[in-house]
Amino acid sequence: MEKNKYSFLIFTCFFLLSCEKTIEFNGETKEPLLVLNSFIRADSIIMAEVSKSAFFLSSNTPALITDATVQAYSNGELIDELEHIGNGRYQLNYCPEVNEEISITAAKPGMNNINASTKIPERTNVISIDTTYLNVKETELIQYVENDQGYYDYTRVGTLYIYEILFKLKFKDPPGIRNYYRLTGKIKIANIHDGYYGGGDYYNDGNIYPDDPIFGSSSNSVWGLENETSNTYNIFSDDLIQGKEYQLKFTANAAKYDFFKEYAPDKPVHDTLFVNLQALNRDYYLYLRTLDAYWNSYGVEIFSEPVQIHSNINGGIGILGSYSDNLQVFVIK
Amino acid sequence: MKKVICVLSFLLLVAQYPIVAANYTISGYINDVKNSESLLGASVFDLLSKKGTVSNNFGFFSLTLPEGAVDLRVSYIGYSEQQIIFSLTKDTVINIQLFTSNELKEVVVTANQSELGVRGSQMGAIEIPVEQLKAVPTLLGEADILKALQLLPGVQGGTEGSAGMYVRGGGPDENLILLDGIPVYNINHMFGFFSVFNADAIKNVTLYKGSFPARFGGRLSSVIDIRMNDGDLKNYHGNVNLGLIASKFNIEGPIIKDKTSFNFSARRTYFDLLTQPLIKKLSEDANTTAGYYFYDLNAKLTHKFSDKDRLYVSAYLGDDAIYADVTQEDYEDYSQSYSNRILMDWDWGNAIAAARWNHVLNNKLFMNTTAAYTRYRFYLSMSNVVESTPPSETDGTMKIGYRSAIEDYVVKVDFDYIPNPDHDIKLGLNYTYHTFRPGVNTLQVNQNNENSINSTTGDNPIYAHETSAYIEDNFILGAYIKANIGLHYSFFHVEKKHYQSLQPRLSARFLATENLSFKAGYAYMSQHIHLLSNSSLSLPTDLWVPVTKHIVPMNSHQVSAGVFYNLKNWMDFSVEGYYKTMNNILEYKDGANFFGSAADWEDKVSMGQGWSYGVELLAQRSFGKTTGWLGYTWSKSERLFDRPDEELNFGKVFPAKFDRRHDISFVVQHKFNDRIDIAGTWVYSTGNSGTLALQNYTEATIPDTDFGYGGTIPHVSARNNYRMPAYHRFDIGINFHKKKRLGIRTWNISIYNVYNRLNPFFVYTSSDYDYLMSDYGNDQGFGSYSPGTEKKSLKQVSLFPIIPSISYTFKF
Repeated sequence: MEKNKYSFLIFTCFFLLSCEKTIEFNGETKEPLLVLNSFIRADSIIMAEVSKSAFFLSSNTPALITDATVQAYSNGELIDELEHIGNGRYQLNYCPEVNEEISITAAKPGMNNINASTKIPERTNVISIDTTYLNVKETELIQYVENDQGYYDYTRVGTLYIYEILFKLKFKDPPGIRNYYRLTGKIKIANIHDGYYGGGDYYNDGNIYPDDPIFGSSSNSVWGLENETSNTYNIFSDDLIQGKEYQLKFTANAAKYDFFKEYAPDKPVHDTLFVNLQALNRDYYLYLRTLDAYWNSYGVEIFSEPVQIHSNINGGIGILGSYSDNLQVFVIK
Repeated sequence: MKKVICVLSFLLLVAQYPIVAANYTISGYINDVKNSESLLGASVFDLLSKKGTVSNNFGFFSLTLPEGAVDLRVSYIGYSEQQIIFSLTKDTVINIQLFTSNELKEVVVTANQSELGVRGSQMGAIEIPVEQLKAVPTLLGEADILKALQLLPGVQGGTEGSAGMYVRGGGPDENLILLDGIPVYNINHMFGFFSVFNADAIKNVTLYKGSFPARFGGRLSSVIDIRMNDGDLKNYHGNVNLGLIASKFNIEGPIIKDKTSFNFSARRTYFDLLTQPLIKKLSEDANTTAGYYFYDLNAKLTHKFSDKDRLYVSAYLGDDAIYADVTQEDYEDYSQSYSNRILMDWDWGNAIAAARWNHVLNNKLFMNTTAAYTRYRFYLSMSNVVESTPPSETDGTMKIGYRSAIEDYVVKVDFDYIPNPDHDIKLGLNYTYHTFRPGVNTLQVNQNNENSINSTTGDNPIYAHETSAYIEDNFILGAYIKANIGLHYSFFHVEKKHYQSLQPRLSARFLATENLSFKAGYAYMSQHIHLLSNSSLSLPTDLWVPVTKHIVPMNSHQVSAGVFYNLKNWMDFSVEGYYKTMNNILEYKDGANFFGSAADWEDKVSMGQGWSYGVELLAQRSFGKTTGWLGYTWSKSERLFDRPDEELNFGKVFPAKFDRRHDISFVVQHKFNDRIDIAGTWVYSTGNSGTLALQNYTEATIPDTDFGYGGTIPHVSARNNYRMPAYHRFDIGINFHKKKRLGIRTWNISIYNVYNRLNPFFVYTSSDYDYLMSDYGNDQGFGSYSPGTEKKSLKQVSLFPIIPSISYTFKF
């Protein structure tokens, strides 16, 4: 009986142990390709990044290219060559306008030449933007000062108000064409460190919380396994609002500093919010969407469909996208 | 609707015409003489008038002939032909009973009389005798009808070992699998390595791949019509089978002789019982009980009220279950002890119940009425119980649960109207009330005897009404042409939205010689439900969902043509070609994954189109000492998802997931004598396609964001751009029979994957480092290592090497 039991266990292990072996890649071995990444912003200088890819079975890693010949064209006419400014980044002091078609070519001896084109989309037609203060949290503003014994004394110098603000941004989607949007938020936070008031640091992705079904992100879980659809870059298409006016809702947090009279600085100290409903061209939109999908599935690839990160570079890999801003500034007072 | 009524009226008018002559009808049932089991698709042919018919799915036949002499030949594969000569002077009821035969010479085979052979109008359909399907050697010796069907041309299995079926380029949810006419939603046990159908309970299996008769609808790619045994009306008998992973038991017999019979089959795996000592051994600190099993129960009651009325009541119940009970006891200090108990229970499976009433309205009109219930459900429960002695604040219980299901109530009525030998008209109505229960989560937390949390979250049930009606006429036009023309109408109502479609069907045959025919067919199909599935494996969390406002029904058009040849009643040959287009089919978007929640599922799929085409060759021998088939398929299946915001593969054409160019299967069985028979299978197929990123590159710096950038990301040039190594395998099984005093015992020895071919299950990229040892070692005197060159390679994971198995069967 004991013998039978062990025979069975050996058999069970034999069955359960799946076999693994190294196999030859039977496809064509690919040489590295030139990679061009660039996003053309209306009324801003042209920047591009050039690197080269690495074949997935090679031990090399993707490398920056510092000696490529990178040229920019406007509506088919050569503008100039981009200058390498370090770390594979190239720059041209030329500011294209909306509706301008920009092409970029890159060449490096021994590798395939690459090129791509993009047409800068029209700015978003923002009709109105309303704000509503939903909540306010009050906390004490404390100033810490080091005393003679090396300890810190603290003094209340005022009140910090943190507002939750609801934004209602109404815009008109142009009819007859497909349009793509991205909502960005930047916050300039007041700096009150070390008794110094004013100045401030800029943070992207600043405190913007999309609260609109058009962004399509959601999260739910089934017995602990998260099943999330995120929209990291706050992008959306006009699929559901084609040619219509639409009111976009989102919230943001920002602070106001109310100092007691004796501690009041020379100038007001407050956060500043920059809300930007950008118009993206289709390639830029698809790149962000697929890049987000890739990072969302990272680590659970075996359960996910493989992701093709969007590329529109002829002869190579990468992305040439374009966009235009429509920036709204809000100072919290 | 008007069109349907017009066609119906026309068919009935045409059908009535020949009755003007003095004709009489011979009708009745065809049964096995030993057990009265009805024989489906048996041929009844009058040699004098050259007219014939076949029995329907309940063994009923009706043949109207001119008054006078009749020379009936009744035949069925594997049975001795019976000749009945008499003078037909009035409508006559004959219940015909056939004897089984093992001798080739006794069988004057008229297989080509059947609807699937040379003389029949049906194409794109295959019927393999169940005994032949059961003899196909399989994984761990567990007879599996669906695995055997995967060996037929036009049918592809998914990944190795999976019971998934991809028929003529369609998806795994495009197969309508009917058990006694009732849909079965989950066909898999053990993540797809075994199917839910216990071969002992099955009488007949027919696979339709194209030219679908109008009586079928609701799926795009195939219909698998499985019929259960009715039960012996005369004698008690059965069998017991002991296998390596499962045991089976089957018994059937009369409750009232020649009136009421039963058939009962049960199967259960005992992997969990056998591995229990190992689990106990491995869980040293805890008291653990855990395991996995599945079981099936099939039961059928048949009652014959009279020659005109029969009642069938059948049921199927099958479940997979994973369970665990882990108790860990510990002492915090000498004054207090606590125990932590974790209980886990996963169950998923089908339940089907059906009642059918057969009524012969007159000798030309047969009616079958069915009321049925079918459901698939998945249930998960996990709980954690903490108890202390003496009681403490941490004591309490937490329980999380998840459940999902699909439930159908079905009512349908089908009529067979056979006005004369030139027409066989079928018509019917079907109503199904669907309840889709997407995932629902429950959470209960009870601490210190206070019910602190008791919540339920998830989607509400979705209710849908599906109605269909059909009419088809299988008619003969002159000496050469036979055709089945029909219409299928479907109406689907869900969440204030309804979809309807009228689906024409045609299958026609031109008989060039007695043994050679040419056939062509067309079918339009529509499908209103989808299976959300996470991977190539069949997981219990797979969820059926209905169409919505945005996700419209899938539909397909399929045309096919073929040549059928019967070589001297020795072997049947067929060559069929097909072209199929599919619209509104679904694929998961890039990066989409599915963990059993239906929430937002519409956002995770893209809608597009596909097409497939191919050629299928089949040489089949179904009787005699040596039987089997050789099948070959050349096929191509592609997808295009280019609708705005639905693009996959940059909006360009890409190969379907299981697009394979070549599939070959060779199945042979030979009976040496009453004591020994042998079966072997060899399969070859082009490797499955997969998606590999062939280049890695640097991510772009995204403007206006502080999220990470500059990392390395993969470049996938195209979906399914990589072809895995080819798949091939040889299996063999030998049966040793011996007659004992109480019955026949059989030892079966099978070897799966005889030459130990390591077939690909999936491939992945692996990174290894050549670690370099420093020269001097570290402070402790040990050599230190540092990572050296990274070596990347492609690894293949295989599931099943050579696997021998043995089983014992006693048939009484």
